[in-house]
Amino acid sequence: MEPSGAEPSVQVARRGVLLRAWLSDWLYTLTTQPETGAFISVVGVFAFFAFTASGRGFLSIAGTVNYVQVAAELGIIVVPVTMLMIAGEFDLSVGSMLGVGAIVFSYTVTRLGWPVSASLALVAVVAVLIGFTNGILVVKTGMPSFIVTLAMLFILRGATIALTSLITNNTMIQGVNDKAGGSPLHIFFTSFVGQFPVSLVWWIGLTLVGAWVLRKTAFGNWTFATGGDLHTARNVGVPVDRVRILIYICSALAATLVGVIQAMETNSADVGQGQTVEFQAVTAAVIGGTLLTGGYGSAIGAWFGALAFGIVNQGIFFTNIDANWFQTLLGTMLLGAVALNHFVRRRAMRPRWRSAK
Amino acid sequence: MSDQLSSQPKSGMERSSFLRRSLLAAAAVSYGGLLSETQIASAADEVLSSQSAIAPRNKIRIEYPQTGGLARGFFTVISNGAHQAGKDLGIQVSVRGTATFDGTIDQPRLVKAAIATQPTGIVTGVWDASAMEGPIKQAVQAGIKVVMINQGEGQWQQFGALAYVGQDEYLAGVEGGKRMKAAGVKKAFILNHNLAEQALLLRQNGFIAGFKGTTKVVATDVNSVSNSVNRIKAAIISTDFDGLFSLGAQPNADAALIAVKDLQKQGQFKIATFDFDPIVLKALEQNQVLFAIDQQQYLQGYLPMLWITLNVQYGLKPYQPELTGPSIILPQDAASVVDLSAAGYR
Repeated sequence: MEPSGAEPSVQVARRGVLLRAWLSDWLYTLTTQPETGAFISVVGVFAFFAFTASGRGFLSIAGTVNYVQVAAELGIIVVPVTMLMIAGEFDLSVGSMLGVGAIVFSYTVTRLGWPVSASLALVAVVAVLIGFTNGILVVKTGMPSFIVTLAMLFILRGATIALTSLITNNTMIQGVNDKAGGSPLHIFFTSFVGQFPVSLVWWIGLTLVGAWVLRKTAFGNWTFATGGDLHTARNVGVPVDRVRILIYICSALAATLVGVIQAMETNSADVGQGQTVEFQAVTAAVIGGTLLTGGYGSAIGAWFGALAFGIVNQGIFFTNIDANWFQTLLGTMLLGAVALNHFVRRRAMRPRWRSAK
Repeated sequence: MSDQLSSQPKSGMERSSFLRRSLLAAAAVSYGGLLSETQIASAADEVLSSQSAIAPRNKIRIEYPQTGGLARGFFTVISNGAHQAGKDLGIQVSVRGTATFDGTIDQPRLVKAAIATQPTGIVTGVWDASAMEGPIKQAVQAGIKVVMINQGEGQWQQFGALAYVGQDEYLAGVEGGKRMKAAGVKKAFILNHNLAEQALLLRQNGFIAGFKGTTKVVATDVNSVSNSVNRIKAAIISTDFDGLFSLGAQPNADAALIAVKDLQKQGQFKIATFDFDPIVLKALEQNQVLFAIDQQQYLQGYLPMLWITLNVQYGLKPYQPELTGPSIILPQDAASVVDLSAAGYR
């Protein structure tokens, strides 16, 4: 628009204004992404522990592997849980599902002598069935998913404890890896990539798949629509029931996957395994920018959320802090991480008082 | 809306006739019940008077309420002992439990529920003395024989219990500490899987007193070996300790073994534990564990049944607390214990 014969100083001034405007736009876009707040949370907690536990191995490779492992196992479950929350539903049964997966796998491998492939197939079938049950109950009865899946949490956990005690007369099934470690399939569950466990690969892979589905596919669109406004979505033809049932099946599968990984890694399965994982998953999703009310969220953000949770969960054990304070510290740091995310987003969402260019 | 309406009786007359019919039914049932009660009572009277007042064993019913009994392998052994005693003595033994362990709220409630069934005897642990005092004294006043197990050595006589069968946790901890010191350990981690549990605190304090060196408590997760492994690894990475003392086999000792193996520091760490399980026994055989402290909890299920029966029948009672431990399992003893542990006897 400027006349070609304008003076150089005017041109420079114009370019400066355009650059500032571009930077401001870029910054605005960045800070309104749900992932940004989550990233800042990660940086914040990492800095805290790097500062308080630096000389104690937190920054070493072994230390990094330590919290990455915890983050990865949580992160695998957080991906479908985030997608469910975006679709406006909760799945509080994932913790109990983890226990079911670990116990069913361990029992069939050690006591029934099944080959690993058969045990895995059974675990997958059980997961699909239970995920489907969760989904059907939620979509067909219209009851709040919080309650339905909370009830399933208890039902599944109780059944795991009762049946295991009844059949094996014990509460732990040991010796899983002794029987399953020789199978070629074990590389999917207990191998290493450098010093990092293979659960890291699962975590990154599933996050990328989740992010791609949410952002680039019709299914992702349907997920956001279902969570945004269920009735409107249904009325415009979005298959809201199918979407939610499918994601419930995915969350059950993810939970049992982690159960199997843990069973192979620790050579045993415990009837109490996976307790509180459901709340950790929701927390990580919220740190990652997903709204509790649905319709908004991000798989990449959830990745950072799981990482932040892993750092907080393990970092405390690297410091000199008295073990009795563990739960208080965990809660405080999580509150801080979520608050940070919340205020960054609030600030970014403020109306911009700039006139059009 | 229509559902609500159709489930209610349609008229006042219908409602009162329903009431009348149910009252009649209730009366019939209770009258019938009363009849059979008196029949049994008179039959029992005959038996009693013919045996000069020794209560028959098959009339003895003992309740064993156990918080967390459904979710820990440790308590399974106790209930195995209880059931076996029931079979051996010819008495009725009823074990009931909850999935999570809570000695302060759950256990008193379980004991009160047991009292309501009017048993001959109750066997219970006392993990919170002030919370359990009321229910136990209530049971004793109702004429129920109470035996305290596992915890509560300091209170059994004062509460009016018949006996105490268990281990002195503090002394056992001291023993563990001394042995670890003697094995050459300079700095030891104490793996505590439930910071809120009184018994573990006693073991911990006993260990610290007996070890007389640098210690650090690592909080592990009672429900997850996986979480415990990660926490132990974090502790190992961040310090230069050389000992791991676990306050309970599951999950601690199992987790300690995995953590040390994963970090490849087997030569550097000496491991010892309270209680044990098949994995610990196998590790003992291979000399990866120094020793395990066995409180022989099978006896804590078996002996109370015996004492209650003998007391009800012949008025016998013990003079001292019955200490079932500490019994130390060394590597050379492990082999003989392995199969028994897998079967739930030890």
